[in-house]
Amino acid sequence: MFSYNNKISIRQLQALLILDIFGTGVIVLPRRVTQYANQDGWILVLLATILALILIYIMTSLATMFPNKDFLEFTSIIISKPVAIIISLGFIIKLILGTCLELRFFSEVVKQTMLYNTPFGVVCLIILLVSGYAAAKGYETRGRLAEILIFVVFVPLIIVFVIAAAGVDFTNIMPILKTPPESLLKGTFFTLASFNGIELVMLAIPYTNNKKKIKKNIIYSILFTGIFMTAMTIITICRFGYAETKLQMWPIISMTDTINIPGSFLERQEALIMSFWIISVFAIVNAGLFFSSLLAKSIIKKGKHSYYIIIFIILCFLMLFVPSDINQVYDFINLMFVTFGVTYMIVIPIVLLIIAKLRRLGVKYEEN
Amino acid sequence: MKKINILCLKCMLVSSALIFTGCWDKVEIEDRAFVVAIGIDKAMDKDSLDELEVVTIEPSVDSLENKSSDKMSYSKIGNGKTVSLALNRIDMYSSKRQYLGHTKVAILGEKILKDPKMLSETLDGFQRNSEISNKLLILATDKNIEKILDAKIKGEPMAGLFLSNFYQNRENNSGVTFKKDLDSVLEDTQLNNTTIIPKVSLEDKDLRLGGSAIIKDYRLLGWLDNKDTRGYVWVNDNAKNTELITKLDNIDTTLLVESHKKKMNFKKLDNDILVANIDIDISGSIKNYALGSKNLYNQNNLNKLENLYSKIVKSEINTTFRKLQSEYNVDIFNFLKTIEKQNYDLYLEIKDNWNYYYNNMQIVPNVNVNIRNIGSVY
Repeated sequence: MFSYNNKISIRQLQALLILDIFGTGVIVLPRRVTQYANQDGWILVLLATILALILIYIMTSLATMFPNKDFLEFTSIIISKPVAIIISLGFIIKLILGTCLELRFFSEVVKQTMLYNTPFGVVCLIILLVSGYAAAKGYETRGRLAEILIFVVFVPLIIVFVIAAAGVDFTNIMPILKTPPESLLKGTFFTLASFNGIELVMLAIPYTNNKKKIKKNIIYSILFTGIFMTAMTIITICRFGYAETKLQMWPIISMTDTINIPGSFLERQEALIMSFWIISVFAIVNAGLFFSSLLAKSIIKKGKHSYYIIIFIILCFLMLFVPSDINQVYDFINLMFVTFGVTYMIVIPIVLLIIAKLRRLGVKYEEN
Repeated sequence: MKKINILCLKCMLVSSALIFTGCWDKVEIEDRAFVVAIGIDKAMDKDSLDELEVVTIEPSVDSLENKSSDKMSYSKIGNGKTVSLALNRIDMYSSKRQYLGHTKVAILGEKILKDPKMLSETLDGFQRNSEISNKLLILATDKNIEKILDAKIKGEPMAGLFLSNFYQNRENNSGVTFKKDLDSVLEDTQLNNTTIIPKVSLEDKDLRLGGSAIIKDYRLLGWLDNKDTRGYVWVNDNAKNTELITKLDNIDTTLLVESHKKKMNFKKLDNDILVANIDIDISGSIKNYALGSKNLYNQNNLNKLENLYSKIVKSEINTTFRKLQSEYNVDIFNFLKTIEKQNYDLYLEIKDNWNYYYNNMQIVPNVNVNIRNIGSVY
């Protein structure tokens, strides 16, 4: 534990990363993957995990080459300051739009499952304010929170899914690997959208202690998230069969509704599960606000990062009202992934790493 | 700066007081009408023939508060073009808002089962309604839904709860009925447009569970009786707690099924005939025989009994299959889906001509009965 030096431990970084990736997109993941590959949908999640592991390796390799420099600083060294500023501005837009869509999507799920009459703006505003407050308190606060919250999110989810796994028909994922390769590839590419958030590693590494062990540990967290998502997808497909999974608006939520928890007096578990998911959304919004304000501060070089957080909260709140319905939210999320998502998860890390290697920049760390 | 901070804090406190206390979704329990069961059929009135009739059952408040009350439950009826419209109309007759989040059972009447448009719209309405659980039990009836839902059952508070508790407590049923929930019906209809729904009927004001409705393309094709339904349960469901009866030396001997396992495999013969081998392993205990008789200590007699029980099960499976194959032409046993899972190459070969293969299909039930226990008598 470090006190007030704005540094977090690797364990805290792992917890933050898992919470940042594990967003509400997971709720619709089984539907999305079965639309591409029917009963083979879970294979897409597995393949996307492998792809995410490769990308995270590239990102950590890049960031650990400049261990004490923030994103703007090391991109300035690699590809000149003006280009670095443009990339950072794009990153801010990506983070704010991503946060906004995540929040809007979440509020739609909450409205359908728990709070039928509460305006979504109120739900979002409360989350924005709480997340903004935590973000304003700095990286250490986020790290310590994540260490606690990760158990609050995952322990109930793991219990529910283990119980769910006991009563499903595992033959529903048969026959295996009968999807045409082109559908598998296309599906894997779009499933990578579920790992939105891994690019935050490039922003987080300067704030982490013990950078020598960072790569291995970050890979473990992505592996954990990927395996968890794959397990959830398998259980959902086995519970409903691929045909019905395709029809479910929120397959994971519907799946939790079908579970009979032994000895439980609770009837509708989906609201309970959603209440745990709120924490994950809090972490994602919190990360979006924190890193966008940090980037803005490093570009403008004036004021405290908390002032930028206030501006981004207002911006986020106003943009929440742009999509008119849930279908538009899906369209925006897809558009975000094929534009900003691909750029910041795939293109920029690879290009930056290649240029940095060619120009022999950065400090080389060896894992021990 | 300090003043600004204090001002911000005050604003936050005031706004949180407004936001957190003004809950839009506050619900007082006495303002809600908890629907336990819902019945849906086509309306009987001449004026509303193309409308649905929806009956909802909710417990009476007095019965919940243990006050003496003549009626344990109330039924409300509403008509409408769709389920949600009919429910809205019912809501108009009540000061309380109906809540379907705890609805346990939905009973579909014969007339709606015969109308594909109404049935598909009703199932769609169930799926879209976020209040309705996927665990909602679906039952079919050829009787009046209101009479079914209003039926008085001795020792049970109301029909809806009885039906729900029956399937919950007797997870493994008596063989003549089986548990079918909303998500299972939806999965069947999505996969091959056919499904089977357990039947509930009324005999002398008593509810009877047994038999089933065969649905294809959202239309009722016909009913299976208790015996035929058991033929289905042997192959596709869990027949634990089913009782088989036969005669040994002219004495009725009952076997209670304690374990039931089934497995299917398929092969295509050279003459394009598909053969399904259905392996069924049953084990159980003898529940009654003649007092004082030592016949059951003889292994030959037990073997004889096992063969007799095996024959009964085979005969029930064959009868049900023949009925489903020749009379209804529906693959309720989900053979095609099983072939897809087990032998994908065979599936690709036959799926386009499935009707032909199914109509000429042969089944070979291999039933192995094992009497594990003859009871606590020596």
